[in-house]
Amino acid sequence: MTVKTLDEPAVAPSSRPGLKSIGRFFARIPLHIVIIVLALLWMTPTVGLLVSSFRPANLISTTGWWTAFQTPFQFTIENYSSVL
Amino acid sequence: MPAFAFVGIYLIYPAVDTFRVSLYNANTTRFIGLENYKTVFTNRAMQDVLLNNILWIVLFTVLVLALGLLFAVLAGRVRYEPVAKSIIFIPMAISFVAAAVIWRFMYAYQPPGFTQYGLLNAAATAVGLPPTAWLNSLNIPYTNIVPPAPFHTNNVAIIAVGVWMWTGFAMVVLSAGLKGISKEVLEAARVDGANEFQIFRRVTLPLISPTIALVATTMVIQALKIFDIVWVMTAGNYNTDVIATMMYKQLFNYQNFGQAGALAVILFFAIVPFIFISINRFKTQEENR
Repeated sequence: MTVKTLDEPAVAPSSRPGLKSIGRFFARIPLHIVIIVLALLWMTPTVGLLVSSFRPANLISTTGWWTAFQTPFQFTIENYSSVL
Repeated sequence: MPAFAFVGIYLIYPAVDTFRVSLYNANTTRFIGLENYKTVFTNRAMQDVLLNNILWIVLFTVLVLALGLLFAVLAGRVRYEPVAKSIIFIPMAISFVAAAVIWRFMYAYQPPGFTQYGLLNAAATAVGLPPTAWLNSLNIPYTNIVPPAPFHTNNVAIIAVGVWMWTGFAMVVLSAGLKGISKEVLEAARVDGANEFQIFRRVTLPLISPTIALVATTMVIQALKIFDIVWVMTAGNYNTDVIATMMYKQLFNYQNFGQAGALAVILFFAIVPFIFISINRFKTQEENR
């Protein structure tokens, strides 16, 4: 995670020395964690569909889509070629 | 005059005819008065349908609003706001049927001992819990307790799919509302010594309450006429029917036109108040402009 300067307008610039902004960065870590975790949770089902679309039909209905990233890789574009 | 004719043919005639059909028996041959309506409110299966729909209205609306507001507030405080918001909004762009297919991958169930290819059950078995048939079971997961009528596990599981889809919408609208609050007001509150939570509770929340109300009415209407998610996930089996799916079944499966008509009329009158609330609010907002 990179250090981010914060733009909250209400605080007068004089009352914010450089040391404080580092402290604020650490104080905001929970905020970033919450956002990133929720965003990942929200993406999971869609990613599952995307991965499944590249897997052969018999594997989709026998193993989970997350196992596709283990060897042996068994991806296929057959699903797409049969649609198009 | 042509406008009247169009409205008459396309809106008023079908509405009046639906009401007429709802007063007749299954194949519209005999007048039976309000018998169909009585069935909806007294028949046990029908009561469950109404209760399911009420659970949809309450749980769906509350969760969409709460999560949408949470995202809008949190994402507004970080630099990567557009990315975070896009991720939450993606499900909105997916069709209901595709969303249901996606979630069948999440909820898929195999008996204990078989390979779980549904993500939730795979995670459960990985930590040693038994798999749960999310879309069939009525009892609370990992217990034998069956909660009273609408609070079944499968109902909640299907509602979660709706929440997953609609949170993005609530987030975008609420975020726009939050951005509309003038910086001076927030600054004044900070100068007065309010902390972030007090500002949110006493300044931000009252100022975006019209937006919250707008999203809430939209979600209630959405929950009332929910059909596609339920239909694709369970087809209304295992006690998950809502008014719209029951209406479809009465019409196409049981060929009971009178009963379907009665459900349509009830659904219509349940939605009308919320439409009026929406229109009224829109009018007062326009006047205040």
